[in-house]
Amino acid sequence: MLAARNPSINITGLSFLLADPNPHSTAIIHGILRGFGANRVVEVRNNRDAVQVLTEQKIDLMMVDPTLPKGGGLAFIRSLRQDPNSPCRTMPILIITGDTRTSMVKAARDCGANMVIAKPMSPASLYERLTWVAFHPRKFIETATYFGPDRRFKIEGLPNGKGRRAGDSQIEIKAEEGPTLSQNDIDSLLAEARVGGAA
Amino acid sequence: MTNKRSAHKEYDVDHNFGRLARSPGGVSREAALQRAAAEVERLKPQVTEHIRQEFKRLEAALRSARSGDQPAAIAEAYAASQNLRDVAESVGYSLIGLIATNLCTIFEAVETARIAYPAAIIDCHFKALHLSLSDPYHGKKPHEFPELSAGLAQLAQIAKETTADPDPALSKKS
Repeated sequence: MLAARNPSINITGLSFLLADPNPHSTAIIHGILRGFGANRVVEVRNNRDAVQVLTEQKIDLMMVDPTLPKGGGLAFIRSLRQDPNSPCRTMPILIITGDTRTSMVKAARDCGANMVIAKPMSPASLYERLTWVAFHPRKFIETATYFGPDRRFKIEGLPNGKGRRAGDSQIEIKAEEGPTLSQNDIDSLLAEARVGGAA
Repeated sequence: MTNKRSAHKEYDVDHNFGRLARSPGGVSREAALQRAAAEVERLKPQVTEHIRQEFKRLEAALRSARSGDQPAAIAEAYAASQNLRDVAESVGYSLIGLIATNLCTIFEAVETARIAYPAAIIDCHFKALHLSLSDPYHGKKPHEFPELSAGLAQLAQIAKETTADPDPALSKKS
């Protein structure tokens, strides 16, 4: 399903669960969601409370920090995905983390999350991800060891429609900007490094 | 629809979130982003206070990391750095966010690559963080201080690369 460029989403009335041990981080995400029109946002600080909320309330999308006590957010997501009786088995789940090491991103993908959003989060980046989840639903895959969204991401393609595959679509790439450092700064940094290296 | 292959099933899933989020109504994209930015701005005093508290926590942890029970102190310093990294830039404190991100990179190198505690590099970042919380650096962006930002990035890179080639001049054994 293709979305129009820069589509809007309507999240008023949808329920969100934010599972993150850091109350200030969730306050920011909560504020952003409120700005988007969400009026049902629940915050929890550990996976026991998350389970309780999921049992008692209907949640439409969950955001989980991998450091969620006790047992970790990734194990919590995996348990939800693996439970055939869970009503939340196919619910969209986003990982929210400042740890963007490859190992973390791979672990997030393999636990069954739909997407990883890097902290710190801007309103624009969160809006983009929510739009993506809404307009690009992915097939769910079930194997002996995995249940979750298809991990084979289709790339969005390169400019002018030149992607790796015939079906790849075009993406918008920001215009090139000048270097953030002036040539004088670069020369001065390299000079210091050379002096440091020689010493 | 289910496509069956050996031990492999595929399901089309159209979740409630997608169905309702795609429905007409709600707030336009531009209005949503503007309102969200205003909400974040409203939280700024609260988050600023949190940043100051995390800075104090980091300061205490680093003091212990130098002299006391290192693994616990390093874990505490890493946690404080993560908290700073996760919120600072969201409320416009990009310079603090950059320094905290560097600190996280360094602590991750200490944790995963088990490099020697790079005391000099961490001290340098801590002093930069201290500066970034006071005038004239407070609330500034990294590009306003290119030498400082580039220098710190270079130090963090050195800490990461120490994994393969430890440099005793930059690292201090615990």
